[in-house]
Amino acid sequence: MQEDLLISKCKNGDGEAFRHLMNIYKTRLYGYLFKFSNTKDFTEDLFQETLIKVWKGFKKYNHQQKFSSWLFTIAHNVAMDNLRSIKNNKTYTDLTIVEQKLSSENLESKIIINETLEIINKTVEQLSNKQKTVFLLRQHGEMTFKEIAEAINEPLNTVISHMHYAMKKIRKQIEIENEPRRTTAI
Amino acid sequence: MNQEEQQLYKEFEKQVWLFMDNDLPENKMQFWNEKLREIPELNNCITEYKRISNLYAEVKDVDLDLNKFNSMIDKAIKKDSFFTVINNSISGLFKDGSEFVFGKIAFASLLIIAAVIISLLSNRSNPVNNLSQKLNKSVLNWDAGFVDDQINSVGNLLKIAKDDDYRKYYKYKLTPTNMDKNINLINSNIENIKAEIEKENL
Repeated sequence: MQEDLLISKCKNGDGEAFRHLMNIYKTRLYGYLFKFSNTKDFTEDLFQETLIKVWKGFKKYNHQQKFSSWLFTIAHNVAMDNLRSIKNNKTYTDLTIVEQKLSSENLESKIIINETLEIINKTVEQLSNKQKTVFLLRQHGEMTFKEIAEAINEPLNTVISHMHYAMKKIRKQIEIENEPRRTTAI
Repeated sequence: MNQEEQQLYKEFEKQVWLFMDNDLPENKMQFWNEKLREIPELNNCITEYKRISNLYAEVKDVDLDLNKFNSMIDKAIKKDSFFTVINNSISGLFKDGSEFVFGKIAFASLLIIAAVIISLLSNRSNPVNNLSQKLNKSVLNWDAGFVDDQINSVGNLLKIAKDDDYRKYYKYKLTPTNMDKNINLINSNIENIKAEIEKENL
């Protein structure tokens, strides 16, 4: 079923259309919220709250707006509201998932990619809250920077700057971590 | 890369994000497209981002169990069902382009009027009822002549007091009528006391 049709049905209170629509975004949305939370349980709470807010807010949803941007803006606000009340907001990375995803690779490349992934993940965890938000909304929400700026209520240049520094940190970290390997090889 | 190219590279690093989103002005987009062909190193900016992005995509696929997802959807829909029904009914009532929109408005108005009338007629205590009852009992059942006399009397007293004419005031107080009233009052009190003493003796 087409996304536009599902959205129209949702606006008319069709619960089954809502189930189908959210199933399309389930993985991306859950993955995004997972990056902000400590545990699976907490992610599920955030996910549930997002679903309730999206369902309730459908009447206000404007067709002109990209649905994914609207959805991830709500998810972002839910995550931020909840994280404000939780001091210990370290993110959680489940590397077993990475291992599962890479099961088809050969052992050597698997190790290298796995290490790089670990570096990226650790660096993303260490980013400032704003940098992490911009990076994750881009990755999971597949939002443009203009949409991100609107979602988090920040000027476009600031958003670009957050992304620029986030990528710079990630790239730098990959270089630093790969340096000993290169030196050993020489 | 020469110095000029390095400068361009730095500039492109800042604009690469909007370039990828196609959100740069047309002339800028054209400019960078040309430069990307001329200086292949500029492509590194894009490929580097894409490499990290693709690598990151490998870990983002953490997923939610389908049964759990379905129960969450049920909960979200259920939680709002009552409000949705109310909301839908109200918004449906005033939906534009409906043939029966005037009929619906009239029907809604009729319902509101009926609700107000029922509320006023009901025995349940409500502020409108209470107030009207109080008004009927006290304010509306007044004797115009009596109230007028009272106001005049208070007015006279105030006038006398204001003029500091105490003699006049006492003279007014000690009129034969007032004296008779007071004597009668004292007499009746004495009679009452006598009657009570007699009762005690019996």
